[in-house]
Amino acid sequence: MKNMKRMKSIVSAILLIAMCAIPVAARGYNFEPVDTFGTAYLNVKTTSSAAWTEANSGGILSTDYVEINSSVGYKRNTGTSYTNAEVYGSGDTSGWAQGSIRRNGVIKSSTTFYV
Amino acid sequence: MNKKIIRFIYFIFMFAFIFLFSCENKELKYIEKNKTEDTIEIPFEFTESDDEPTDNYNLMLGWNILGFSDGYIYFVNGSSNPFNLQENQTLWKYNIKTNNLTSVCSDPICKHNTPSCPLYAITDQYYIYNNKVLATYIYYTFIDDGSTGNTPDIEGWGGFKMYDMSNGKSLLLNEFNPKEGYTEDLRKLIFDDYCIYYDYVYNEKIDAWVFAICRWDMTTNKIVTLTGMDNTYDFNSQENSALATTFLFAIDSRIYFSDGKTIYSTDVNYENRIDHVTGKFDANVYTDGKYIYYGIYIPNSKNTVQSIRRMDFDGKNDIDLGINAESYNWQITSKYIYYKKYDEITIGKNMVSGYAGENIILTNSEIWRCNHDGTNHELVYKFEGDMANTRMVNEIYVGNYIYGIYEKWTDSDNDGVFKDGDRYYSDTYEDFTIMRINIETGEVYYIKVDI
Repeated sequence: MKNMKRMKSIVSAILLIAMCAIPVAARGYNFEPVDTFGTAYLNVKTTSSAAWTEANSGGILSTDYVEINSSVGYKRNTGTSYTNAEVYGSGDTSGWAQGSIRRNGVIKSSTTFYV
Repeated sequence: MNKKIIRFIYFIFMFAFIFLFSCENKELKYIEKNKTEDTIEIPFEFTESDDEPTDNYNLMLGWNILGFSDGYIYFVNGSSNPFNLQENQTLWKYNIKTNNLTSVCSDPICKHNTPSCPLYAITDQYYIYNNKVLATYIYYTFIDDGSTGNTPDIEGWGGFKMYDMSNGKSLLLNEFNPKEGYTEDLRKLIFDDYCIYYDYVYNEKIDAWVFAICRWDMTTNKIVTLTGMDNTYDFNSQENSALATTFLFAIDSRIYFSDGKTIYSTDVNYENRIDHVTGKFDANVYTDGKYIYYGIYIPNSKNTVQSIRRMDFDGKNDIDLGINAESYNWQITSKYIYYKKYDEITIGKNMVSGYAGENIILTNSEIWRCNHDGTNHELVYKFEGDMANTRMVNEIYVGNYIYGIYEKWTDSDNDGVFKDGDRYYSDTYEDFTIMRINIETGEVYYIKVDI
């Protein structure tokens, strides 16, 4: 009887660890600055994922852009009025992203970062 | 005890369920692929003209999508995505007289997306000079893309190279790891086999990142720093995103600079300085070889509109040319100054992802030109009627034609609200199209790149 109880406790513990470990490792949120021009974000969940770059200001030149490149997808918004580029996707277990912003002829890119 | 275990497992299941399906801070959205332009097939025609671009006297602006040299328009089709390099996404050249398109890489079976191609991983930050291509190259390699559940493992490579189209040889200026982030100023001054460029470096003495002005000798492959080890943004200049010291153009092997107070020139070693004119200038200064053209921001203007002026190289005979245009929205050709007369037209409400503001506002509906002395202003083209929601966003003026990348807004459900997918932008990999306007007839011809 004691062995039976101990066995159940072990099984419960394994089940608990397994259930907790999978979803925690499978989701996360991270961001990196695009130098002084803005910030790039990555949000990975088991149900959906999103990545986006936000610029601190609008563009000056018509070819200025905001760009997100990530495991979720790629998007470049070109034009002075765009301050954001965002992509959405299905759930995932991990991901990567890099944001880029061009302003007045200077391009800046964040580090490649992960979740 | 069994009941306790069952309750405990039940609790864990509930906890995991709530944890998995909560905390959504972004709604999933469906972003439509850009729509394609429906065009009527019209026969190609070309008429000669003796008016040509001045090439800004060696100042090259790497943000321009279209480049022009020796009768060819150059472009990289679509925004190059270094994480996912596509077949035939490369540097192309279009013969404006024959309407023929060829890749700069001359290998007929090359798909340009493997390292065997000399232009592999070229970005749209390129410069054409004397049968040479100078460009930034970036690519990434996935060791593990994370799809296996592991942490993604990505390697990257970046570099600035010169490719000689006459002999197929390449020369590397520098290399960097794009994974660590990077900064590049896209203004270059390229002449006499020199490339003058801004190198973004950290200066320990002043504890700041600066845009040092460097010179790359493409003959000897040597680099020297000319000036600017304290060159940061000058927030007291008329344009707060202007550098304290900027190079402007090069004439007769002399480099012209502005330090915000003076336009001066030096030889290629940054020696033998001559001061030309004092005044508050930004980087938006050009020449036709005889005069200096520059912009003054219009007071109380909420945007970047400038009044364009012309003066002698000693600052005398300073005249208003009667041009009000945004910075970099005026170009000097051998005969004319072309400019977009600034205006704002609201076409509807904004529900477009990433687009700032309540309304969709289009600017620059009219393209004008005048003589170099500001006389004889004439309207060249107006975006109206069927073209009212179309604008050229990046263009070059060659002879009798304007070539440009364009945008077109279509209110797909006629509700006065523009949504994702309602904007067509002609610089995409899937559908790269150049709009050509015949200045004499106003006829529009679409150069659709079918690669």
